[in-house]
Amino acid sequence: MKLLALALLLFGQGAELDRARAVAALREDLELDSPREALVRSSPWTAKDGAFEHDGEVLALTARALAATGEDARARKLLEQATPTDATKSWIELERARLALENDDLEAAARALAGEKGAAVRYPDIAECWLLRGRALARQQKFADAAPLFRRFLELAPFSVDAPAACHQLAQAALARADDAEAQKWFTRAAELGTWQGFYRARRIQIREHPDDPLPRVGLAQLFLEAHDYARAEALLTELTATTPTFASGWFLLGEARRKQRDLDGASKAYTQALDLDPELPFARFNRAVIARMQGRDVDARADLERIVGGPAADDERLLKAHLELARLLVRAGDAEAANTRYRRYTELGGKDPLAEPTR
Amino acid sequence: MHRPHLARFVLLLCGSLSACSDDTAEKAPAATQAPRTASVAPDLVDEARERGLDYVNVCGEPEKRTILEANGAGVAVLDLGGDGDLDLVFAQGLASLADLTKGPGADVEVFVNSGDGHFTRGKGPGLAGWWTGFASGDVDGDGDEDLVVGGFGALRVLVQNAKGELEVGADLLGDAGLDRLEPGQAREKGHPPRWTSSLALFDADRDGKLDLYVGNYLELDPVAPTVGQVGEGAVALPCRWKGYDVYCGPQGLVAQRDRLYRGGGDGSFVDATDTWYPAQVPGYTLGVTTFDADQDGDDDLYVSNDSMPNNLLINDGHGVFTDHALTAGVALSQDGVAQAGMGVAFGDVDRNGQFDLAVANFSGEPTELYLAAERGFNRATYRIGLAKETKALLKWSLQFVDFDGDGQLELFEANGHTYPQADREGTGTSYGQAASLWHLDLGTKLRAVAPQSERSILAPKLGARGSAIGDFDGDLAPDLVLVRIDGPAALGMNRMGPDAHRLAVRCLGPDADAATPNGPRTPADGRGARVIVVPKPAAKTTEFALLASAHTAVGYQSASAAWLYFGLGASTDYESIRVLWPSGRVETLGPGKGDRALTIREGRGIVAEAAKR
Repeated sequence: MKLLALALLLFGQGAELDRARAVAALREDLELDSPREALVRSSPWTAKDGAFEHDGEVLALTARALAATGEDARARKLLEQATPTDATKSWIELERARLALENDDLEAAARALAGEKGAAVRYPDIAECWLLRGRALARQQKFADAAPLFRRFLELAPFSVDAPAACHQLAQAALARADDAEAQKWFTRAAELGTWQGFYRARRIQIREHPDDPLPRVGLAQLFLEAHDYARAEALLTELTATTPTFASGWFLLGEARRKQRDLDGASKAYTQALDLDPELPFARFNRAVIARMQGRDVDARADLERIVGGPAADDERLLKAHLELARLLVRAGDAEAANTRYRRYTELGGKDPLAEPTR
Repeated sequence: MHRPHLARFVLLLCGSLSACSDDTAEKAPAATQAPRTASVAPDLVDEARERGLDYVNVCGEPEKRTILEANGAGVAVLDLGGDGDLDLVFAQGLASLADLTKGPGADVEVFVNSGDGHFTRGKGPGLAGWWTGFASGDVDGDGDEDLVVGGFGALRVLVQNAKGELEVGADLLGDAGLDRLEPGQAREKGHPPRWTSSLALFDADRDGKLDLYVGNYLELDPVAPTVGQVGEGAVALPCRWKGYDVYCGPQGLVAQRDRLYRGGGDGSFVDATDTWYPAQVPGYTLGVTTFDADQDGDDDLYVSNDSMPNNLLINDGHGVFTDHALTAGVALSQDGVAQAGMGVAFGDVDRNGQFDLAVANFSGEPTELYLAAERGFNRATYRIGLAKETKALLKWSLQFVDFDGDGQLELFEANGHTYPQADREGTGTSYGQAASLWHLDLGTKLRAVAPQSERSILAPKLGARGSAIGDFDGDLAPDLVLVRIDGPAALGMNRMGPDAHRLAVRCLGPDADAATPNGPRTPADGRGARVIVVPKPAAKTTEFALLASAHTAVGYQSASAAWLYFGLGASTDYESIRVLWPSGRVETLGPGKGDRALTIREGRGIVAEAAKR
């Protein structure tokens, strides 16, 4: 019995994983303006007895792809005839509201997305519901009503492809109430997120074009790191270093993703892999040294730091602290003269921190 | 251009600021009437062929391998010869990109109006290039209209001479080196020329001399154009749309800076971009229009950019411009995304005394309608159903015109996709697209005007780019000339609102000795004057006022007639005409009779009046 339960559990997890992958693939197709690819992909899934025949989200995304190819009538028909599971039927309702919005039927869309008994939205757990209802209201110039919905959307989906839009709508809402400072803040955030999304889109296209080239994936990982989404960066880089183990930059960034998640051993190992492939990666060496110091491995740290300050990156201001850290190690080792020499170089390069180690 | 009809243009010497009645005008000879089609259905009927307009646009090869070949041409409507009728000048391109280096270049094409809306080919100025857009205005203050024509590697002043012909004037890229491109001259790769799209003549610094805004597009190397992808290696991005390979750009190519030129009043211009537009962020400019956006008496600019934020350039009164588009709500889409801005139009759509804006965009994006509000503009796009109507279309030239004469502006839109691949499966759009016309009743959803016959310019699913407005047959109903890409132009003769009463108004600057000695001056061609017409209320009609501004840079790469066309609806008369001159002078005329073409000169009132033909 236990075995059967475990098998069911594993099967369930596998199916859920497949479903997540299917939804992600469809969403990416749509985000990258490839609705025809989405339709090719979803066709067997949504066919009779297909894997996602009753999955409301997959059906909704398929309908969206149909609409994007000019097949509005087929999109509507698909949504009308859909028999989604209870767990996923909300997506069908959302997609109907989206179609209403696309057809400038703003009041119908807002109504369909409104919650019962005064609740802001009908499906509060779905970020898109907040966005769509906010959009329906904003398009009617009801910015004051729309603003809280966009804020909630941003809380639920801060890095959604629609996040810049939500920020922009909040800026417009601020302008409508003559709060120019608040508007500027949201305009700036919208621009930042928009730039990030632009790169994100470009990297994904490049990965599709060059699936075996590590460069676009490294770029994508960097974007995740910039967005503080370290777990996604680590997953991507783990996959990358498995398929392209000789790509030093991939190992370095994997070290970064692990370090940001406080996995110091894992980070140190990744830096070591990077340095084995390319000993002239000064940032990998410096970060490995810092971890070694934190772990009390002063000898290892000193070796790395001495190599940096004796190498071509010695005067790189981004590695200024290599001089300071080495100076402090030398103090601990009792070599005051060498420590002072190193600290002098640190200050010559613009360093301002004291030689004495801060009390921890 | 033709021999003047005395009955049409009767100089009134009364010199009064009130409208003078003129019996002569009412007796305009019937012989001058243009032949009307048998159809009286309300429509814009394409009569290009029977009226002698045989312009055929040439814009590269049908495959459209480069973006230059997709952008098409514009047209200018102006009076050549001072005979009171409206003539046409078309931009023209070449059959392929290779022809740019091989030569010869194309001239602009001139069509002369015989007075009743029939055209014959006129003498061109003798240019050689790939021409794109026009600006019109009296650049030398001699009382007639001139042109500035932009192209791919060229920007020339075309001065109208005493014979009503266009002569090649100043070369505004004279010292620009490789920014210039002379067809037929050898050229090495790596030197994209300056590419002008839309232009506008207006008086930026209010000195009475027309200045010039030049919208520039992007860097396209004619010798080795970017094809297939932008960038190199694994970080290159394919030039692809909806899964199909298409020409590259604008994204991935370098945007060019727009230019502002200070006019010398004698046909000369000096580049003043650095001082007048110091904080410019180069965009892929496609559309330019000028109007007084902030109602402070000077002219501002609206610049639409392809895939970059649009600009609302507010004039400080001395010609220095600052972009306020973002805070005015007219820079980006509702979702904060830069759209592919194409043509632009302005007009007082909701008749509240402020100018509203429309901006054409790419397929998948709506044509935007922005209504002027207390602070900036409010977007009406979705509320009136314009997004649904326009999303599948790729939009170019826009015009706010009261075609049916009921006192409400309609919105005209020239459509047509850039990619021939649009006809392939699953794009949701098509390469050839019909032009659109909507009634804008802002209380409800807009209403599309359906073509009444296959001769309607709204019927054929072809590709259109530039358009311009003018009354070609003297019936006071504004007609529309449409430039189609790779095909014949259309001449939409206005058969809408046959019973409506109308008024056409032309504004002119003061006589030389009557100009304000200090302070702002009105240009000789009255550019920038704002005119408010109040029709005399007819039975069972509500009172309303109509606002228009004397500008010609509207649409896409085109210049409309300098005349302002007002629909009076059922009112046979107007109660008043108020003119706010750029000099600051305000004059009120009237009451007077409708169905007239009135020429108003600053300080002298109505100086010429002609009856409807």
